[in-house]
Amino acid sequence: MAGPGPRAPLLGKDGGMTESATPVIEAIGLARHFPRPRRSLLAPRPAPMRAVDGVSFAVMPGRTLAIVGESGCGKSTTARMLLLLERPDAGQLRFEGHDILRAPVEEVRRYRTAVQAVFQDPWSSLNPRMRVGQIIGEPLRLNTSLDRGTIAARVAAALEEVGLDPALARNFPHEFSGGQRQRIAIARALVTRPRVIVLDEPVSALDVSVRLQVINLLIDAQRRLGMSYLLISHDLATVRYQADEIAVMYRGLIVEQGEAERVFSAPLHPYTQALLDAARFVLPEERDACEVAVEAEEVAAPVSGCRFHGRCPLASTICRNTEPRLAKVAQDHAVACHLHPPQLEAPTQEAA
Amino acid sequence: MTAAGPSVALTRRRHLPWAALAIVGAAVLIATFAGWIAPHDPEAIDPINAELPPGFLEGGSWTYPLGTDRLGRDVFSRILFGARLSLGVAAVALLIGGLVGTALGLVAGYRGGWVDALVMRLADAFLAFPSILIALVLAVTVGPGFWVVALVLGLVLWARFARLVRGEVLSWKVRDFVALARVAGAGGPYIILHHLLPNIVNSLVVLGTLQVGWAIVVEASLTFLGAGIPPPAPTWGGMVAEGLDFIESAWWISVMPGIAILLVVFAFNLLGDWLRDRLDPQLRAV
Amino acid sequence: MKDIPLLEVENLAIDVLGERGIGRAVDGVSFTLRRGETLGLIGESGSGKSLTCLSIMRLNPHPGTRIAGGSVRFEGCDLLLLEKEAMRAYRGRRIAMVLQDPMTALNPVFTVGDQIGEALTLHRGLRGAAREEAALDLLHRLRVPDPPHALRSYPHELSGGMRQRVVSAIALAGGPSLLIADEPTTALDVTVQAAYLRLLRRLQREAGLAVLFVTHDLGAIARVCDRVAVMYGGRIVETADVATIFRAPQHPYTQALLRSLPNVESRPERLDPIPGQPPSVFAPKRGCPFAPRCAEAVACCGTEAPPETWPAPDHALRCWARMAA
Repeated sequence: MAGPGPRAPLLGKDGGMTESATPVIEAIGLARHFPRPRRSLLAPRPAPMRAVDGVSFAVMPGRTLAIVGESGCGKSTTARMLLLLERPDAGQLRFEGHDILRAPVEEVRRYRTAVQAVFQDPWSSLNPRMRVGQIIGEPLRLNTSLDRGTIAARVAAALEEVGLDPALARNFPHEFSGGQRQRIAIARALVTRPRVIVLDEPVSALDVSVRLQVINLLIDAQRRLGMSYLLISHDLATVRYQADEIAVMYRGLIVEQGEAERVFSAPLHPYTQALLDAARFVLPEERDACEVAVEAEEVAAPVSGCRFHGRCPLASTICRNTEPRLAKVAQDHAVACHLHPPQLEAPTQEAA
Repeated sequence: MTAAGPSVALTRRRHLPWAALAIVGAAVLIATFAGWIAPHDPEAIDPINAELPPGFLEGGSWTYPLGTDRLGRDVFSRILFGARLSLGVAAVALLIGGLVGTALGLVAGYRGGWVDALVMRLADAFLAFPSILIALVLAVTVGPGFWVVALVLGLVLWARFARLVRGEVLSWKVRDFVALARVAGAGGPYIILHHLLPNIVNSLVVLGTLQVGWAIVVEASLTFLGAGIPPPAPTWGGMVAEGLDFIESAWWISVMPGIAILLVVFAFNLLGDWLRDRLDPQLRAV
Repeated sequence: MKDIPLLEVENLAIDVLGERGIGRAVDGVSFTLRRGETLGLIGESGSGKSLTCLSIMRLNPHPGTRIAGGSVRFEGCDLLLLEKEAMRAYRGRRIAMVLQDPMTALNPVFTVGDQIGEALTLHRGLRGAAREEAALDLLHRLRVPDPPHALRSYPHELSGGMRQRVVSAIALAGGPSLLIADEPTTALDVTVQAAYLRLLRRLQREAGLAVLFVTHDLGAIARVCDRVAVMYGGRIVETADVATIFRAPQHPYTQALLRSLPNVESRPERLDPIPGQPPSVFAPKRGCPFAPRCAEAVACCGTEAPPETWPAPDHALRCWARMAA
């Protein structure tokens, strides 16, 4: 079977993020703050924890957008906001011309049918008391008025699509292995033919030799059905294999964004460079030579300036005082770093 | 260096608790069919045959297998009918308390916030009051009886169920499959009914089984104190109370119902413990 | 002195006792570790690698698992034959262990200083000022910033990477010559992981520490190990130095595993996964454990376990298909 091959083309002819292609989902300035507890009744209320502090991105039809970052960067919270599991404190979420966050119930229902999810933990994603067939058919039962026979047929088809025997619909989740459970979760996500599937670390909890099976399954399903993926991951190697576009998050903000190959081959933000350096295979002969480029992480974010300046080997005065804005340096590449001033007059993102 | 073999815990889980099951089964059957099984009318007074010893003792006869009490009533028949009363009260109390408690616990756990706080404080309040006291007050004002006791027990049981259910809901609602149900468009009531409740049922069964023993003992105590089901109803607690005056001469009048309480409560508790062992690890494994 | 092996595991066999019966989780595993060397043990779930580690320290869960055979010789002495008291003298002082989740390895109600101090008192008999100084020195060696402040902190006040360094400090407190690390970086972020592995390498050189590094992450192995043993289905299928394992692996499992890993430095057309799943511990053991998934399996792979062969002096291999060549 042919591989992912060249990047799935957009609707526009010139590749990259063209203005003419319409995003399926567009996030504009999404933010989520979590209040911090007071130390005592008399102490002043501390500033809230800015888990996601104004991120903007677009999920294009048929393409995979990956959001990468380490723990605490806000990528999972962002995914949950897109799934309407968390209510954003600011920003818009546009779908089919409406802002879903302020739309009538009908629009929200359509959104829910069009956006499904696969989560990280295959042991927690399936209701242990429901049969696999019921689990997969649930989105159809909730959102359509199809009769039981049709639903059963769709469930059987979904099971086949993920490489499982349709007769297994009668079984319970505990009878399956981790990899198979994740396939069941994917079958459920596919059954309504959604336009976007949010994948939150879909293979992190699986055995190494099984991961690639599931990743290839996802890629093949995308080629066949044409839906978009929003892939949340900390594993840059699989992201490079799977993603068309990438957004790198650090402490609630996107620090670099663009066509995946561009960002991977020429990363501009020091954090992206550190991530790539940490993720690559270091051959034995070179490992004693490479030195620490980035300091060990700190617990508290800096109060002013760039959020990364405490760990950045290239930080200067401006970095300590002013927060850089995410700005385009090329048609399909944007970065938030004082070392790389904006090259294009395209609109930049606002921090909430 | 080598272990003796599969662990004891695994062995225990695999084998049914036959003795406990037999006693519980017998108790339920007796409660249902007491009218057919009992050799005598439990309330038939027969002064001539008062205080006869049990059949296996000298002076007794097998017509009255466990002897008679001070009014000549057959202790054995009274115990059989007493099972109906004890289990009946426990069943009604569990039904009321279980339904109310589960419903409130589900809502409190799922909604959180002020609903949760309200329900939990209410539960705390109900648990804080000594049930005996409430029963005595009610017995004095309304009058003792089957329904008073069932109500009092239910008032305490709902709080226990509510607490348990709320705790379970808190731990189940953060599972991914609940979030995925919301992503698929499910609303609160649907999630509670289809996703949370089926996973909590096991704990409910365990709690219910363990509370039967508790209910029987409390009912017996209340009747013993005069706040429960009044005579001439053949409740076990009442029989123990009546026989106390004769404990030295006709000890069987108190001791036989006492043994009945002991056996049945013990059996229910064993069954509940076994169920908890059997059902919980399976849940954890998934 | 480097020639005398520090640790010699020979034909170690461990059974797991479950509801479904008895499964052989570790099936005749042998490897050696020399002083100051880092041996990586790579395998997936069900390979038996974690159980092997625990058994070296005789910390395998009991009941539930039992050591069914073999020997574990540390500095010449078979640990499996020791009395409990004698074994306890080894733990912490001569062999130490670091586990995957630093949060659960630390007691949340005691400060870092208390916990490191406890190890120091236990293994080196230090108290008071000498103890505090030794604790500070350990944190310094582990590159923990602001050691005095760290000593006064509670585990939840530290980040994941720092916690893992504290756990490592506790492990090193007794001055062991062997450190067993079971997935120490799996729960850490990738940049934190890289920093920790660099640190581990440095520590190893400074202290002449031998490390048994167990993981499923080939990237971590590449960064820190001198030699690698590949485990599958309870057996070691290949052992070689790290360069050979990555450049010229011989066993079909190792080769397939390396082929199936995406590389962050390039985007391949298509990667081929290994079909099927890793075997269950309770599955009956016949022949080579990898045979059901192996593209190169020959007739006897399914019935007879391949013997150990040596394509090169320091390269051990168990594979029928390679023997035929």
